[in-house]
Amino acid sequence: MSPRSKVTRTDDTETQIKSSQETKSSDTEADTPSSGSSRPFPDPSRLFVADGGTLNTERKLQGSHAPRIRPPIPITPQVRAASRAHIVDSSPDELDMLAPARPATLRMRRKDHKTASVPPMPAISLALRAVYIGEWYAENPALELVCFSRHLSLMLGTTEQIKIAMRDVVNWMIGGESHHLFILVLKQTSTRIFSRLIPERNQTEGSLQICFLVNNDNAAQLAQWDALLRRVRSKDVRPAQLLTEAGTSSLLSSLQQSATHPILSLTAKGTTPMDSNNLLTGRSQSEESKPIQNSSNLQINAPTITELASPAAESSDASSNDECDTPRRSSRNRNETQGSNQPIFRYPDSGPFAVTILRSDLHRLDPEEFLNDTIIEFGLKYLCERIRERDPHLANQMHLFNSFFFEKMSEFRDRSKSYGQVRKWTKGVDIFSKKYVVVPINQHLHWYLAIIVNPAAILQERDQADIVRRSSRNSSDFRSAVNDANRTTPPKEIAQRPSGPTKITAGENRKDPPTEPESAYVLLLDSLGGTHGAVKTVLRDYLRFEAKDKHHVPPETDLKKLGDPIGVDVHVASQPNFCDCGLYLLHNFQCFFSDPQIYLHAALSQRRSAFSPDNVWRAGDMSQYRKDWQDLLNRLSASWRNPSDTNKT
Amino acid sequence: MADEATVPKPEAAEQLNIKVKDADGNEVFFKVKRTTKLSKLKRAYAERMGKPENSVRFIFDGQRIGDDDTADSLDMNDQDEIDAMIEQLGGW
Repeated sequence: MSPRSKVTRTDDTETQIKSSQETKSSDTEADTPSSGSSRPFPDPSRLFVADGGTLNTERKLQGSHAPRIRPPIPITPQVRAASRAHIVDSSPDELDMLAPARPATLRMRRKDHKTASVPPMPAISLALRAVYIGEWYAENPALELVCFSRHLSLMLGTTEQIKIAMRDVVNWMIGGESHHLFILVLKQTSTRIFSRLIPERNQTEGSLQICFLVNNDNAAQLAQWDALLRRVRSKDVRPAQLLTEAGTSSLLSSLQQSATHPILSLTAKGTTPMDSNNLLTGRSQSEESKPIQNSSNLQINAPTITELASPAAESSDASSNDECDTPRRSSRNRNETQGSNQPIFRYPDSGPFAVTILRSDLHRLDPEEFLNDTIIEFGLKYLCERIRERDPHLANQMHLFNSFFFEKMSEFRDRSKSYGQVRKWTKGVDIFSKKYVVVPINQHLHWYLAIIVNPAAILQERDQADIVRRSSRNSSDFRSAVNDANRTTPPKEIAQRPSGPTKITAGENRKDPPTEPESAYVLLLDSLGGTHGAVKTVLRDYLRFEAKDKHHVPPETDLKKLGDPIGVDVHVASQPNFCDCGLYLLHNFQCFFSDPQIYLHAALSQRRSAFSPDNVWRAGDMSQYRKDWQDLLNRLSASWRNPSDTNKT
Repeated sequence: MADEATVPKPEAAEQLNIKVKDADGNEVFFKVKRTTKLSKLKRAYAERMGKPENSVRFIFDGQRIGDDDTADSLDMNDQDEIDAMIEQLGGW
């Protein structure tokens, strides 16, 4: 039988689709969330039309501005193509729902903008990711993002700071984990705009409120919002609620009272920070809807604009309407993806479950690009093999999960349901026989690493006293966890570490006998710092379920009584930019497993003031790291022959 | 290639029903031969779901399915389930 017929068979034999997975007719979005009618925009090209606009702009902005700028959300070829194609939003069916209730407050004119070739922007056109919000944002979770029908507003309390056209928003997670999302619903606001703003993964902080500015008596619409909300709840652990008109006004008035920070500093590339007084602030002013006076402060890098504008102009000249443009864009898209879909090598070269590296994956290692799961998985497997060559015993003590493990395990609030999804992931592996279980984590466009140490230690049921001790400790978790760690592990090795600036600070608990059995730890190695208590809990629950499922504990065991690993947010070196976290993940992995004992002690005996993570975690040599990996990939690619090519010849 | 023609075992002709499930709970069933490369399945799936092929990952029992893997080489059974995941990116 010919391969061709095989393909055909694969193609058309599938497909009963359970559930109403076809959301294209998304008026049916009122379906229950669980029915899986979820991908709001099943057709990516449509999605990206909607995003349109200035994507390339901020990409460039970010590229040349130093590390303080927030990184762009990675631009896929589709986005790129789409952003070339359109400056003016040409998908009116989805986005041009309704004029905003209030007139646009902050109108920006692009400087050096070729108005002749590019139609004027209807409203504010700073792409979300071009805005430098800076650390200020992270420190001020009170900043809200308010969604209107056609734009988002960054609000500080009730003061509108900046307005962003909806089509420029591809992702609402601009503030990391902790901001609040308010959706203010006008009468005809459609759920479709917001459905793609729902986070892919759990949000643990902040809240989401869907607020009706006016009473809505349209039952169908209410049902849609309700469905959206249920979807949020199924994905999201933050509180989410639907407010009626009365609730909305009281919420707004309480926000008004709690607005304390009048100033938001806002910078685009090459400008000095400007305060919000230069922007329009406050409701009263916003009513006037006048163009911003000194928009030059917010200038966008002129060459960038030109570069962006010309292809856009070209495409909008060629096709003033959507129908014309769509095939054009998709053909370009196809051309781009064809080359990038080319496998450049496979790792390992033989055997099942090999990672195939595509050319597009190689480009993930270009300067300032974000790493993807393929590179991370390859990197970890590659490093693991190097460990195996050096120290087979250590390699046998390790188990690597892939980066989707945590995504699956944290998918549902009901952990047993989440566990059900990964129950079979350890087929043939007893993770409790391992000393180190490595869990790469991708959350909110950020990579970091969790390492479970001594997982078997949780198999011991805790006695009552221990539970009490621990629960009292939970209140001050991290610090005391470290104390506890010091208590249980004699820190002698780390003292031997020659370069170690790590000193054990006055071992307050050394009197405790070092004979206590080893504890289980969840080490969290995050180059952006932060605390990850929730991650530890997820992994703890995984271990408990796994212990029961794989019969490591008697079936009648109360899982709550099983051991609780100690979570340690390790002070690894910080990444000096906003694009390298994937590399730091690999680096930290490499460091840790260069000598796990020493690094474990370093991690457990850390004190912020007592040592410099840069030294312990050897981050000094990171500048070449990205290039090293790229060179490695190129080397492996050069020596690899695609077996399917050889078959053909 | 010849892989299909040369398999003499009766079960080789057997087709498996494989369920592909994405993170949203959508399920798509495929009927595949044991010797069909699962990368073809992935391509068909990506096309059907309107996603770029290089952004889709197939995970079976926690492991990423390689391009040359087949149901046979992975020892898959009828009604087995593949997790379809979407590319993860991270930088900050």
